[in-house]
Amino acid sequence: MQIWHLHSEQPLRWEHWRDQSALYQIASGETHFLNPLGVAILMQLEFNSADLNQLCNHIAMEFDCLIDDDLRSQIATSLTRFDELGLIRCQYDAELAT
Amino acid sequence: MIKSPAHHARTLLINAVRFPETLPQLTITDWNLLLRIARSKRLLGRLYADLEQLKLLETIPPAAAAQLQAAHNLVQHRHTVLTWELNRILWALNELNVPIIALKGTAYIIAKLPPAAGRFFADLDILVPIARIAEVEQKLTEKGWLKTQLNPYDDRYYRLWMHEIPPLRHRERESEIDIHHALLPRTSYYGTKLDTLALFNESYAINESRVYVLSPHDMVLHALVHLLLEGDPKEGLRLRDLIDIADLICCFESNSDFWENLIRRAQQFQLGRLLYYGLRYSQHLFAIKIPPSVLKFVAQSAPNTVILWLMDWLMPLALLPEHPDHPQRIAALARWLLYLRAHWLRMPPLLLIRHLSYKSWLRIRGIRQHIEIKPQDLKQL
Amino acid sequence: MNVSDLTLIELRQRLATTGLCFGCGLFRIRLHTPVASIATLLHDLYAHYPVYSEQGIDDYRIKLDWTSWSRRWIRPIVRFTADSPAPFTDIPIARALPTLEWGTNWCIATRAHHLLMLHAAVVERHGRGLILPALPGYGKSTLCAALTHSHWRLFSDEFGLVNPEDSMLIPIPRLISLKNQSIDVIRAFAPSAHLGPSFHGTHKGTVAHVRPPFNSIARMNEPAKPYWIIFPRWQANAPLTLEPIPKDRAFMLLATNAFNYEVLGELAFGAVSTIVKNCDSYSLVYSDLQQAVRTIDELVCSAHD
Repeated sequence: MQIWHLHSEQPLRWEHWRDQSALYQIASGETHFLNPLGVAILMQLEFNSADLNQLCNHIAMEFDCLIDDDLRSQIATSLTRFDELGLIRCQYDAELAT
Repeated sequence: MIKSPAHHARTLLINAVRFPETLPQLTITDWNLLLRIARSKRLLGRLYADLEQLKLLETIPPAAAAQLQAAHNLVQHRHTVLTWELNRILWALNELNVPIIALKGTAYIIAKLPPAAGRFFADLDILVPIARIAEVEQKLTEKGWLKTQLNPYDDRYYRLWMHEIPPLRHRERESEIDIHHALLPRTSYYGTKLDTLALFNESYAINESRVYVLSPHDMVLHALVHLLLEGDPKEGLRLRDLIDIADLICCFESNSDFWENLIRRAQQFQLGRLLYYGLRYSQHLFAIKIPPSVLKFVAQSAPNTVILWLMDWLMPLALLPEHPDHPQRIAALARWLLYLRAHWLRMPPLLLIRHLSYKSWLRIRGIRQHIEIKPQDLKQL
Repeated sequence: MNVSDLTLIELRQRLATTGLCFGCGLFRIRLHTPVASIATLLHDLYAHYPVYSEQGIDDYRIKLDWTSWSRRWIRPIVRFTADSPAPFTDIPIARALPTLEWGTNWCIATRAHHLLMLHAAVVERHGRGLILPALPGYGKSTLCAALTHSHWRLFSDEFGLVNPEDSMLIPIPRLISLKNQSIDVIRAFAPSAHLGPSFHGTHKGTVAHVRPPFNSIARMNEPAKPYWIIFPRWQANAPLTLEPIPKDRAFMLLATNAFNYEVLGELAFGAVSTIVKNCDSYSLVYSDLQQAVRTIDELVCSAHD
């Protein structure tokens, strides 16, 4: 199972508004605009590393919705994109054990 | 004795680099001149870094401090961009398990070496073993990097004769990455001796990651190659490249085996002559200390007296700034002659025709000589 | 001493020898040119700028020179340079002034990285700053010129300079460059506006410059706190609409439209956040300039009371 972590130890710099949030990533110097789903995923990872199932549970609770394939795939897509942007990184259970 | 304007300009810049602690004593007129020369030599960021370290920024005229601050902000931005691009390359190549050496600027930044301070770096250069380069290029293109579009002839020429592949650029980011498999083109006299695998054998890892930097001695030799073989016809030899060498030597000389290794490698790679020149002019211009035994050794690679006399005359002319209001024809000639020399050593005449197409490739790459001023250009900077 | 205190002959002499050193906002500019016709134009359009002594630290050294001795007489061509040869094409003498203005802007945009440079016009009233960001062609300069001649103080029609440390707006009252029909619109709107000659056939069509009012230059060292952001858009025959826009959108528009947001990194993120937090943001669509200025005045007065 893949465990997702925030990419760097440097704290993320947030600016929250009603519909969107902006995130300044110190390591890359990039500013990202995120929708509430993206914000919820990253803030959860900021709080604690998690795998896809844990994230789904958390998001379903926060947005008060059911965990279905659609939600899972949305979260999975966001994670892939965040990984590409270097906001998060993944580690496998096996790696953690060694 | 009345000193010439050129002499004054040279002294001003060299003293600023060597003795930044004296900068607060400069007159306004000298500051005005120094900022112009340092800008033309791309050393403003360096002055900022030195003054910041000495906590002297508050003591210089605010107008000068503002210009240095602007240069510093630009330099910091470049450092962030380059280290981040490297970070993303490592991410993309994670599964490949291929060793990568970061070269030049990026190496100085990640290894936290003195030349990084305040230095503006344009490109990201990495070195990869030639056997793995196709894999690396393939993986990067899968993960979002784009190849430079070249016609098949140019592309083939490039891959056949150059020491790097056509640069890649990430589809969402601006920076270009140059992936080298050697430090010099195969066409170069020196290129055939500079063995990439030997460089890998003595490189060392940064923060236990897969990114390496050259060993101290190889790093100095590479900086010398960069200074003496990769000039620019207008700018001549770059003073900041010589400063890099002086900085590196000052930083590494306390390693007990540094000089010994440097000499061994210079012999192995047949770079004795370059090392001779590098040490000679670092000593002449920046008064760096070199052990007598090393001087004695490199003296074996010295050119004959006529050539040496000529180089002693040309090198300072080409390296040091001119007074911007009093340009000298002779300095322009010196810069051009040394550029020709560097070119000659990089590329034997038989290849000149092919080289022309390399030049045209540079044009494709978008190095425009002239742009028209339009208001909308402001937004495209 | 201001430029207008020099005689034309004195000004020409300075321009041709040591250079005219003058102040524009924070910057000290040294301008060299042997071209006499430029001196005549500058004597009029640069009249209010303070002349500085020859000794000082120049922020920009700008030169407009003949390309060669012969091109001075036959179809005269001039070249813009700044410090070192600048990568600009040469231009016929008839379009020298617009090029001088654009070239100077180019220098500022490429070098003033100690400040955050928004791509926006900025004006001030009662100590409160109004930022007018816009894409080119949306009527930002026209509206800026109109406000500048209706009780507002000009900060800039091109550069919204921001001190990244405290997010204060910094004036840089350069000439306002008007294009095509805007020229007559401003002549009609503000007969008191001081306009230079029209230059035809530039990349932007016909261009004319408005001289910043004396007051804007006399007070060019007084910064202001940003209070409003209005994204203006001129649209033929459109009824006037003024609508609040959400802060996230204002942030995105301001940041993506700045000259050097990326360069300043975290400082810029902080500065734009602060500006957006402290400002009310609106989008303004208008066709009638009088009505647009009146609407902005009402907005401001309601805030002021």
